[in-house]
Amino acid sequence: MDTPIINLKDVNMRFKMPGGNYFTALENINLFLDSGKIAALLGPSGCGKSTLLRIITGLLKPSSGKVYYKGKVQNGVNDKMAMVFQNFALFPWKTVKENIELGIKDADSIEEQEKIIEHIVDVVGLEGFEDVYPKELSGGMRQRVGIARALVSNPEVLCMDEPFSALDALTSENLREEVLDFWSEGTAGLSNILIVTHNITEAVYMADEIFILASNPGSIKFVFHNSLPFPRDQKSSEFLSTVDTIYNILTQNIMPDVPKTKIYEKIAPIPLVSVSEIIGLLEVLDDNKGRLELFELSDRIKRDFGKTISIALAAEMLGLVATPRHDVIFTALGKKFLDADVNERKLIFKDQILKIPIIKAVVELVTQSEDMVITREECEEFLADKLPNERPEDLFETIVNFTLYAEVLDYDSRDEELSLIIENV
Amino acid sequence: MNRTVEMKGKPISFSIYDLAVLSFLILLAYGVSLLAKNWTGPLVYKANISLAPTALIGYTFLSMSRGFIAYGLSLLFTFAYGYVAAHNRYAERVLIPLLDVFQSIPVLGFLPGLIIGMIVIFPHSVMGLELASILMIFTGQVWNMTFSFYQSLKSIPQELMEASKIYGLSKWKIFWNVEVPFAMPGLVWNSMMSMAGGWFFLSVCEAFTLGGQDYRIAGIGSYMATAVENGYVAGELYAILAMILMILAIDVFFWRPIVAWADKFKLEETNPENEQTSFVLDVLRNSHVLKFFRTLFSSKRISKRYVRPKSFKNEQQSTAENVLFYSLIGTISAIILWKFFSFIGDVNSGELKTILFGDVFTALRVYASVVLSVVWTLPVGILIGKNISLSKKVQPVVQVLASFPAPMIYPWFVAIFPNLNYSSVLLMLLGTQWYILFNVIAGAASIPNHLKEAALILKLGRLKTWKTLYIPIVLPYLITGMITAAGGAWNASIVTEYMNFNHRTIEATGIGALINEGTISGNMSFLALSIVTMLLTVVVINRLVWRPIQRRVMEKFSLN
Repeated sequence: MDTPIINLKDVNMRFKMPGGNYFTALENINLFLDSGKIAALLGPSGCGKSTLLRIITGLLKPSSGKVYYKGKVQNGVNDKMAMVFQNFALFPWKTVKENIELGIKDADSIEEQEKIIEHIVDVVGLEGFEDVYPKELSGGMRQRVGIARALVSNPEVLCMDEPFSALDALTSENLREEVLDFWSEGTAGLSNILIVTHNITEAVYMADEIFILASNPGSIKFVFHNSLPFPRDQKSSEFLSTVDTIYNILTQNIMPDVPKTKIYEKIAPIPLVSVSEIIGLLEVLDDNKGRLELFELSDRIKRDFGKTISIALAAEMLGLVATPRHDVIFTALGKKFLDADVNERKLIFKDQILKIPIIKAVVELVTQSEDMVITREECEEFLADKLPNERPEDLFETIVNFTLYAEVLDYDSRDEELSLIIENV
Repeated sequence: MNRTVEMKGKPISFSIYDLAVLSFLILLAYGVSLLAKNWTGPLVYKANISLAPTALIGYTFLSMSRGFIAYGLSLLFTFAYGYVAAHNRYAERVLIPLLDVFQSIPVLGFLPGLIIGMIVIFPHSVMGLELASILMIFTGQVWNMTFSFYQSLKSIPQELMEASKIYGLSKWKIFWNVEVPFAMPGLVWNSMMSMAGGWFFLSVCEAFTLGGQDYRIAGIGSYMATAVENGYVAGELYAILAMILMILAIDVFFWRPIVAWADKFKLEETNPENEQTSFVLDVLRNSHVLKFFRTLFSSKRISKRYVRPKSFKNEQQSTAENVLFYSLIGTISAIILWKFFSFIGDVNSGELKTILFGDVFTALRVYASVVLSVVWTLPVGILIGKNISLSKKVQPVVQVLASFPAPMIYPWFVAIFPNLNYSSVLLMLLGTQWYILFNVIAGAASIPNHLKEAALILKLGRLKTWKTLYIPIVLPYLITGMITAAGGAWNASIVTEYMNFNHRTIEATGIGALINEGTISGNMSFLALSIVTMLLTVVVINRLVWRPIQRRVMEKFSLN
């Protein structure tokens, strides 16, 4: 068997957080990619897939573990790779032509350089825009410049960090198609494309190998070999069933069917969503006879898939919905909650959140403190101590959002203090 | 008007624009030759300053050249210092606090060291004195430029840096293609402020007394000093006129084109309404000069050679490295402290009391002048800033007003208010109110339209609108302006508390006057202690009072 073009061994990435704690972005990543394949790193936001791409390109050094390129340890930026960025990363003070020039690594003469640029401008369809500044271009045209700049560097691996997510649906569809065209026409030297995405359809449409990541901490949960022949038809039943399979893998890994009692037993992180998002989800569910498939739900509430899962998960923790396989359905309590008036809702919510260990712990912390007041800082320290793999600021925000709604705790943003609400019946 | 000249077979039309650019270049060459002639002369401590108005033309060229050379040095210093501070975390921890300290040293604090050093290096030519003067102007320009550059470097978007790394740009290329362009808008703005700051102490930089010896080199500043000393009112007027003309010329021929050009470095799209225009830049663009240089450089440009990216540096902080760093810093500070105390050993307690007493007096003046400035600039600034078309018209005028060195009109103020103990508050205000005005205008201009509309629809009324909308939004800008103004006022105390006027000396009780006395008498230990006292006062007040206030206000009232 050939040596893989990219091989990661036991890669871990930790970031130091202010306050001295470490945040684990990636844990035990092992990855093989054979030459000649298109690969996708797929996962919800915050699972560390962009970090992983930066480790693969050598822009970031992993905290531990090794990256091998064609069997050799990679140390520093890999000059056989090019990158296309989510927000284009074009230099606003350079014209389109000057931006593309930056990508050219070796040209013997000005004439040769001119020829390379002329050719690529023609290929990506930027004729007539050579002397224009990027800020005068639309998003799609800007990303064309980004792609041209990447291609003129004659990369063996073309890395793309959510290249189409800042573009509108029509433009991204169009560009995705074109990238595959460059690929199939065999741009000289290009052997692999590595694309980071949170869009399942995009991954299935483009990639041969789909690495599925999950967060907390970021890790590869599954590698899916996609053997659908090119060109892929997004409407075909094979395509749709592949999307469905991947989608099941994602939900299984991000939203495992854990018995309820277990959720309430040990201190675990809670999904970072807001009360209004949970209520919104319930409303949408109500409009659809109390049952919706996650994928469809994601479409209805106009949130990306990862976010939808988070909201559903939060609602499930609160006992408002159940998630058999990848459907979301009302529980009796959920229905009661939705039909209740504001005050009753708050009471139900209060009962439910006090079952969640981490929220219970925070409320106890406040209750036992002097004057029943703690500062934001104290609370974040407490959270960082209990759940070292989470960002305490985000967790704090979510807990405050929940407890404020349930009228359990009060938060004063001027003094940054969390206090207990004394009930006066 | 267009005449066609055959050149290398290609027709090139020669236009009025080319003529304008050409004549400017000739004028520039004249200025440089004048300076060169002046520099090669033998060492004369006190140049003979002619009070004839015609002599002033040459003097203006000399002062202007000094200002530009100092600005060139400031740029070099800014690039080097800012770069190192932004890229080396050990250097950062030393260099950035140090910048705060440098900023608080009044220009006279640099004077003795510079003069003695330069005369040792150039014992027989006037070059030493010239360089000392230029470096003093430099100390009035450089610090805020450096600070702005450092801050820009720290805020470059991550993706841009990653793109330059992945396409194998060398550090040198990243510097010129990414870092400098990104820092450009801030750098240009601060450069304009810096140039103005450099002129402020022009008189001190060209005519000063150190240890009983008078030094004087030809320029507008020394012309003014001589005229004031002799009570020659017409001469004072000529000098002011020359100064105004010089500032206007620099503004039109230097800053406006640069500001208009620097627009392209802004990250976001500029609203065509706010687009900067410069007729000089239009002339340049229409002439053949820019085209000539562009072809010259593009044909010289060698095709790009790829630089292999560097391998990872070990970026983890090692404890051993930290221990070494802090013990090094500790040792150096200890040596400096020990040197300082042994140096000021012969200052007696009476003198120490005088210094502390003077320090308190000056502090009162400084903050009184800041309060007075706020009283008028806050309402006026808001009125100007909230009206966009008005602020567009007023802004350039205020800019020129602000870059006029206030010390030039001090003599007249003193003629009206002869007691320097009180009038020096007013003199400080003349120089520093602009910083506050600028900031308030900028703040008022940033008030979002939807909030203004909300205030209208809620029928808040004038007073209430000011209290709930305008003042809170302007507050962070106001505080920033006040900090800068207070810093400027402390430095200005050396020219507002001590003056040679009509063959006599008048002074106020204050540390600025004491620093003058120390310089003139050459009492170095006294001078050093005065400067360090002032420096500590400024730095401590900033750290303990202003910065916390600024942080709180930013948190509460900042819009984003």
